[in-house]
Amino acid sequence: MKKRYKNPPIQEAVCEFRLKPDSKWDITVPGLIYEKLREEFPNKKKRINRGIQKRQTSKDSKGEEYQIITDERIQFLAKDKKSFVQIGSGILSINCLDPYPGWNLFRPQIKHGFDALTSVVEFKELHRVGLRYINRIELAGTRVELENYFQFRPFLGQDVPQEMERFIVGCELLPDGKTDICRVQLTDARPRKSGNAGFLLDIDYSPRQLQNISADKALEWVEQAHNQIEKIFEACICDSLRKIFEEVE
Amino acid sequence: MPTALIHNAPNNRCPAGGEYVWRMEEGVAFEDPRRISDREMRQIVLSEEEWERIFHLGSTINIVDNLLLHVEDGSSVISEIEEILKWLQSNSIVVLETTEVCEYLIEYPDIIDFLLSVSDRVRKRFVSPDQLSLELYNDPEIDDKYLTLYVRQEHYGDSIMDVIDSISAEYEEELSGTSGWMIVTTDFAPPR
Repeated sequence: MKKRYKNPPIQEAVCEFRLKPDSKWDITVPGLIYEKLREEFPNKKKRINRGIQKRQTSKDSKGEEYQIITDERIQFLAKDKKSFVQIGSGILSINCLDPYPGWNLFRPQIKHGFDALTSVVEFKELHRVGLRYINRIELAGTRVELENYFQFRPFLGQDVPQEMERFIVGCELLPDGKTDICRVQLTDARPRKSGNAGFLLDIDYSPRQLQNISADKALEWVEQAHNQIEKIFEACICDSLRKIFEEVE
Repeated sequence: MPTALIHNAPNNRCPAGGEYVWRMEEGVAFEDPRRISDREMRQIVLSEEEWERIFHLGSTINIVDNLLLHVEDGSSVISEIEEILKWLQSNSIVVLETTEVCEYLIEYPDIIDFLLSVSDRVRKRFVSPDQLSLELYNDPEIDDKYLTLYVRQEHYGDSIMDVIDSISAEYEEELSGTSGWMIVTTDFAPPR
């Protein structure tokens, strides 16, 4: 049975669709998508994003160069500015910020965004699909015993000094054994209140290989990805955190 | 779209003087570090710490892995903000009322890159300030709020406002294109 929380730690949920580089994308696409979404996402903003790209400059392996690229993304924000659609070149994401309204409300937003994309751009396959949940957990006190709160945590071994200033632990899991990959990462984070300890539990789910998702199966994949993320999230935490999040019936 | 090619700098070291950027010309880049001079350049600048972090390991694979750690979170606003908060913390810049600052960055995402760049400049110009404190100023008379980076010292010299003014002159034109706002100033108060 799926668990529900009164105070979920989700700071941001993101569902991202990337089109193949040869898709029929041009500069009119964001405007056309906006027309489809403007009732639910009426406010526009821009955001600069940085990325990295490999480029082959000659046939041998020495001819590889990596490029930092910057691109502008347009955000279409809902009236409450807590959810928005972001559009970059060949990319559409649907983002939902804290307070997370729940899957039953986030899922229709994803569908709305994806439907707008498919109605404007013709494509058969996606280059990548991803569903990501970033959870922020804040605990009272600067010294926290991680094993009291997290099943997923760094293991140091008894001879290693146990005091940690900062930490990062991550794994790429194969939840279904073959087709998908789930990157789970736990790090310390800057606490919002002084005297507290902050943590980020980041769960990022995507197909293991590129070009694996046909457009008509994309939303079905997203639903399955969400089910897996819920299971993995629950597996990463202890009951003491469930009490803090306040489980509801 | 501005692009920059990554090359190893001599000795894998950041050139003296701070930021390292790549000159760009119609998509072609040169190994030519120079100071930031326009908006496009600012968008790809790496601070000295970033440069050291990325390049000190030397191999291309490590460089790319480190860059991927830094930039692959393209679609997430929160991960970008958390990254900046960590950077501020590791550079001893105090953030009072972190929640309010985060909410401001979420509301004005086009200032995120700018915050990093300005904070880095201030940190380098005030070699040992007693405190750099990032706060959200809320104007009580009008509905206006903006980020304020306070320089606070135990003992204030005569030239502090001149230095602040010279930094402000460097960034104000760049800032005019953003929806959010940020200033660098001092309140001549002791560090809190």
